[in-house]
Amino acid sequence: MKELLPLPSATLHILVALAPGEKHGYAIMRDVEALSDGAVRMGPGTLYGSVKRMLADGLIEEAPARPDPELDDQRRRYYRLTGLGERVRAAELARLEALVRRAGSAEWAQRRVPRLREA
Amino acid sequence: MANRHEAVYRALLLLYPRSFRADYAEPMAQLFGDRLRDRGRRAWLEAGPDMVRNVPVQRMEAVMARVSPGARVVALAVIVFGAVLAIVGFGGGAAPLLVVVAAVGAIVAVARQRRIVTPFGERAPLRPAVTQAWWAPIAALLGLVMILGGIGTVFEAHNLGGRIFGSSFLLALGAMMLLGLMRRPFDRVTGNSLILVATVPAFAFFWVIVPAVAGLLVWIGVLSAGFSDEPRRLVNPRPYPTPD
Repeated sequence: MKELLPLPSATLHILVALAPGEKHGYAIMRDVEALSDGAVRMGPGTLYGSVKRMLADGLIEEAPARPDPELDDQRRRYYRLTGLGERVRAAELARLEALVRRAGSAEWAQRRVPRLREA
Repeated sequence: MANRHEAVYRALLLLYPRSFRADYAEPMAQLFGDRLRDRGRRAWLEAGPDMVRNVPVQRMEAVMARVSPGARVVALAVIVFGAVLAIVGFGGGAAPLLVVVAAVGAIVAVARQRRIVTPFGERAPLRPAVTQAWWAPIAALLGLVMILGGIGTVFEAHNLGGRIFGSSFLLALGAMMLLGLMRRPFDRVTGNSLILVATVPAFAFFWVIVPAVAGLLVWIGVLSAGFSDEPRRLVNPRPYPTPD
């Protein structure tokens, strides 16, 4: 699992978007936008390029069940997290939390940087 | 109007490699259609740059998926070799070439999501690497001679037509030979590929009989053992890291 970390930004956003449950491509895209307050916008190529790699890495899988045809388009593909995907998402979020905590700590802010000697 | 935009987008999807299209063209077109309904023509502001970024990535991934790991490492070695030549031999004029090389390297690295050549810590130490087969010491010696030859001639004005090309060539191939030997204990095909390619200049200078014979012995050794031969058991093997 460690070899997958740190995750590319698109991968992390997709994992977070899929945490509540299975979703199709466009729902993932909209949720990623909502999660990032519109800062991260994925095009179809980025989304499905990431999906392809995540399927290969075993982070997500295609959900076999299709929604009611009257409610949604039957051609849509739904994706969901695997156990590994869940663990990788948690590990990456923990890593980022630790980074944010450390970066905001007084200890880090007061850390002295050795000054270069002037020539 | 939406249908026309969707039709154009579907046509542009042909730029993606066939294998990617087979799996994702339909959902991508559908997703673009959804976006078009939500945002109108502004959907192109995302889809256009997205395509420019991702088509080369997917194309490169498709090519890399077709070649064997050995060929992939050889391709990387050739790219590195080209970069060395460019830096040492052609100076500042090589900048555009370097940009292309760096871009290709970055795409390959990102596309595979893993390191192509294992980090230094995973390679065998050179000493066990050169005692693993009867021909390996000859290959190591040949590599060393190429590196020393490269260093020795780097300041000469008359090497290969007065250019520094020959010296860079020798340096890079010598390094490739040693890398191949160190890689071999973990990945026979890759290591052997690197060694065979690095031996080629020994034949190019066939009138200098010693390197040509040495090169021939290395080729016979590699090919007679089979291209993916198993390591010979050492009488008193020294421990070194093994792959997972």
